[in-house]
Amino acid sequence: MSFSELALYGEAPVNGLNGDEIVRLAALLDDLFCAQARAYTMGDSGSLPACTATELMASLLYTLDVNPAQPQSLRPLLHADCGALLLHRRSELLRRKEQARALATQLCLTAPPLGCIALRDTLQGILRGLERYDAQFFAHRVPGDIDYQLLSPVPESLQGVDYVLEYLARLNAELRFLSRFPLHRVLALLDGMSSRWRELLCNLSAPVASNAMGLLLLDADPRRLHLSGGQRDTLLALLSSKTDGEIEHRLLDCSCRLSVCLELADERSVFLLSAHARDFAPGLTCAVRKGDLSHVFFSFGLPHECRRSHHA
Amino acid sequence: MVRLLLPPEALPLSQAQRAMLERRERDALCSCGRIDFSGGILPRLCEAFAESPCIPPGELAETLAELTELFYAFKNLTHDALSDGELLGAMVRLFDGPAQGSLRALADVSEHTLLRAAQGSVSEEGFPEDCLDPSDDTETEEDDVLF
Repeated sequence: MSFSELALYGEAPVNGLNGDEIVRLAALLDDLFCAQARAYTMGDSGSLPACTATELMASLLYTLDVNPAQPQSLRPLLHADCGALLLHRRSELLRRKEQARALATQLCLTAPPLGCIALRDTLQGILRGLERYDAQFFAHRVPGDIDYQLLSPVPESLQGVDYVLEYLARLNAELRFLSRFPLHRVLALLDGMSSRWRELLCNLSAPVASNAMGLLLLDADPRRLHLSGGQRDTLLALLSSKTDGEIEHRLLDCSCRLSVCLELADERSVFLLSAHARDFAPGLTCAVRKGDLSHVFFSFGLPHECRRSHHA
Repeated sequence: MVRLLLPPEALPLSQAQRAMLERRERDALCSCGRIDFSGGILPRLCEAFAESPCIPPGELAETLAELTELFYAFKNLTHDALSDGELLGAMVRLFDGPAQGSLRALADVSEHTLLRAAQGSVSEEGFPEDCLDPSDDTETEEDDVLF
């Protein structure tokens, strides 16, 4: 079995393609891979470590937008000029790279001044990674180091610049959501969550979205963000008689009302809030059953500087 | 996929010996964890060692097979820092020089020795004494050619 055949199929037969098509596809990919490898070694070597060869092949498959796990995605290669297709797709990747760079730059300039180290480092890391992005040999690699955790993570099936584009789009939706709240209230809520939130690798939108939904459950103004002990007791009384499914349903309803209230009607924002409602529901249900909501709905805390002067 | 491109008239090898060389090259690539994309190193290796005075006539095929295995091992040892041509040149200099045709001695060379040999600097350092001909002075370069 050739390297291309191994890369495509391993040892398992593939449904959806006949034997002739598999042989032709393997030969096409073989030619592309050999050209790629010759370019990578600049003609100096006729062999490569298998791990490097695998990376070059992964980059080729990603650039051509074919997935060995989905044989139908390979079929267009049978009828195309693969060399021209590769060049065209590569220029598309570079265009998407520029798109990602523009979005990352915009986020650096417009993000609320939260002071979150992971968020800052992630945006700067993505910009540096995009500068070094190798669309020819390692297009499948995700440029940059991503520390900041999203409310709704990007699927691992995405690769390369597509992963970064989707990450930045989801981050943009989160930052737009956060910007709908008064900054001092967001900071006070995060201080209530943890005195070290700026240094932690935690998502900042989650506690904000949770408290906003909690306030909506009480028909209160979600923008206030603060939930007192008394309000938590009221919530506990409200939810303790509800089933798990009813709690989730109420949270999903809150997510819809929140997107209307904050004027975030775009598809991404609606998806973001409904995804959080689904993720939040099990933790809230568990807290309700335990009779303690203090770890799911936070009260405002003291800023770090005030804590230090207080202890001094 | 390894395709043997040796011209038939290049070396006195039988069909069975050629098949053995192909198989040994495939096995060497596999055991070294390497993928070939150019038809294999055998044609160039045979050309490089064709004039070697250190290969006994009756051991040509086996020696070429072992040199092929060493070639791919050395590619890994040097982390692909040398081109195929540079590595072949280094192997020829060492094999015909301080190793005096000893495959075992050649197999024991260090990465440093290979890199220096690729630069044309061949030293007896690191080779066992029974490989060395006291009358053959192969030390030619200063120590700090590369580093």
